[in-house]
Amino acid sequence: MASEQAVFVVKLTKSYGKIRALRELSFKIEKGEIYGLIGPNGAGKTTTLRILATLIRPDSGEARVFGYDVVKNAHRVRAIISYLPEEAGAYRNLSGLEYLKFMASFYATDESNLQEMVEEGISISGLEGRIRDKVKTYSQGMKRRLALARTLMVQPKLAILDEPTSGLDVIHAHHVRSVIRRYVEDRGLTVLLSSHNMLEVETLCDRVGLLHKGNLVEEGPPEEIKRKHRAANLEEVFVEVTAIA
Amino acid sequence: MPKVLAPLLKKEILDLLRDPKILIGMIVLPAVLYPVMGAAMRASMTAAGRAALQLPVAVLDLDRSFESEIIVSSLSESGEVITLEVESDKALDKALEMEAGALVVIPEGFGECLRAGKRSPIEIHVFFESGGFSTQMFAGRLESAIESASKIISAYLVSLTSDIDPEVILNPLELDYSSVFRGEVLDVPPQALAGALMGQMTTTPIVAMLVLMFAMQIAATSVAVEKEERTLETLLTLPASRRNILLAKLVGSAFVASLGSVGVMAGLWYYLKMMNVAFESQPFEGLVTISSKDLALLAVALMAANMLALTLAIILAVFAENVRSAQALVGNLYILIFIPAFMLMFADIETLPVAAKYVLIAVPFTHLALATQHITWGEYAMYAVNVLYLFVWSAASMLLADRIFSSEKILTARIRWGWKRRTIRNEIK
Repeated sequence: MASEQAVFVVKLTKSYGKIRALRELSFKIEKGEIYGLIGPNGAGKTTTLRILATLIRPDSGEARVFGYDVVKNAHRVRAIISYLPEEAGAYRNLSGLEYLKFMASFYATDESNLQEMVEEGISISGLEGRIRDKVKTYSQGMKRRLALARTLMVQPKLAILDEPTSGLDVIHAHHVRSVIRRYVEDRGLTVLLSSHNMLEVETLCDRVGLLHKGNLVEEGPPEEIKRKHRAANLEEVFVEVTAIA
Repeated sequence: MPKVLAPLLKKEILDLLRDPKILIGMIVLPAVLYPVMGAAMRASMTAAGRAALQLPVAVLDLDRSFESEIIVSSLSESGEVITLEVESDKALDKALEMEAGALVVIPEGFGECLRAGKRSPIEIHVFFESGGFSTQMFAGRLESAIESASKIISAYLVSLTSDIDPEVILNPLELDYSSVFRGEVLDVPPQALAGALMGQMTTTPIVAMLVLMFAMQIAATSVAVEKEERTLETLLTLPASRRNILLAKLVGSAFVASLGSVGVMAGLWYYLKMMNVAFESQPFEGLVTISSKDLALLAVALMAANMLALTLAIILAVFAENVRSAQALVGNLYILIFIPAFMLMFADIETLPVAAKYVLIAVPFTHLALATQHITWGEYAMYAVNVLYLFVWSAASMLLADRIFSSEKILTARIRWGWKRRTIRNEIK
């Protein structure tokens, strides 16, 4: 059943052998929100994103995207989300244009809708001059922009972005953040992202969840968290909270 | 066809065909390699044949009788002859000096000895100076000429002592061979038919092995490259069922592999044609042991085996981290294809030891080799059993692949090879 609550996660656990990646993780994201998951390496950020993207299954607990259970209604969830993995590649023997068309074909309702999505993708990627070249000729930054473009151009209800600006220079990272913000404001997109860039999280996210060892140890708007911990920035909060935990 | 299958299939085919490793290594190269090999073989054999014809035979005729003349003229008909006029102990050096390919010494009293009803000696020295195929062909030419002379001398000797036609004495039986193949009487010598059948029973498994190898390599690559290039996670979150993704990989790989197979078969056909031209073999008219219906049945068996091979390759590739390790893993499956094919190429399965027979029967790819044999002998009921067995294995492996694709194993499963037993590692991020 569809819901206006974008993400609903309750007591989510996930183990890999003896290692517990998530320990009864719970959080919610409202529609139109940009929610940032931050935490040290191995905290469970990517595991959480992968569960919500229907790639892996939780051991227990519940995870819903716009009311759809990610395990029981995985196919419905996939139709309304778009996931950008941290190390997303693209088919090296296809051109950028062919890649965007391929991706759009899964979401477009008809040919004109597909064309609109592709035009949008080209615009987001900023690859107008190189879009007919094969992906294997692209730099890392160009591939990342292409991947982000295909994630957003299909106009998902929820975009799940794992380190969206990873590998991008300052100018392109700024461009990507402004695109994400514009999509949220203009189209009501909901975003769940993970990032190691505290400045990015602070400026982009409406709310932040700090994960440590599979637990949510802090949550709230960046300003509120900073006030609570009497910190100048999120980095200080991050260091303080993870050291205590 | 489901709506999402078309773009998936198009992507698979485009991405595979544009991969230089596949396009050049598995399609273009085999199609070019065999004709080039055939042309090279033809050129070298033609050159060797020409060299063999040009090589003279040195003859030291110490008898100069009617009988010795028969030998000299027979040698002359097969090529150049140099008649030596030297002492017998210097003949060998002289022949070598004149760059002859062989020396034939006909001793004094040769003809007289024959007329007295005794076997007469004749010395033949073949010089292996440069070796190679031309010497072999020259030796064959020399042997034929001597055999021909021997027959003429036999006929001459018979005519001296009998009124009966020497041809009748030398060849008293008028043989009328025919071959009964699958209930049909063919006007073909049994040796020719046996040769054709043997050729078919060895060539078909070899071609089938090549087809399966190509298909497996391509299928494994199509999965492993998604992992290596980090495209798999994105693909699995698209609104397309995992079954359609698997199906697109199977069909796309099969299509590209079939292009590769066509290249191999065309190249192989040209190569064999070139070899035939080089050997100047004359196939018997009407010696067709495989009909179009049989070819269709062979295609069905090959398709069943191909689907199994593709699915097994895809399952194995799921456990690989990159293309290289996927291809190495798939290489382990070749043994299941090669051993039955080679064993059944030369031996009847019923003649094998009982344990070996049942082990072999359990291996699914054995049934491809058996199916080709049953097609050849027209045993269609047994063929159906073989193909059914292959389809059952294909269906079971597809179900397994479907389960793996539907689970998170496709992302997390890895095989670690080491001195410890095999373990599957889950990667944590």
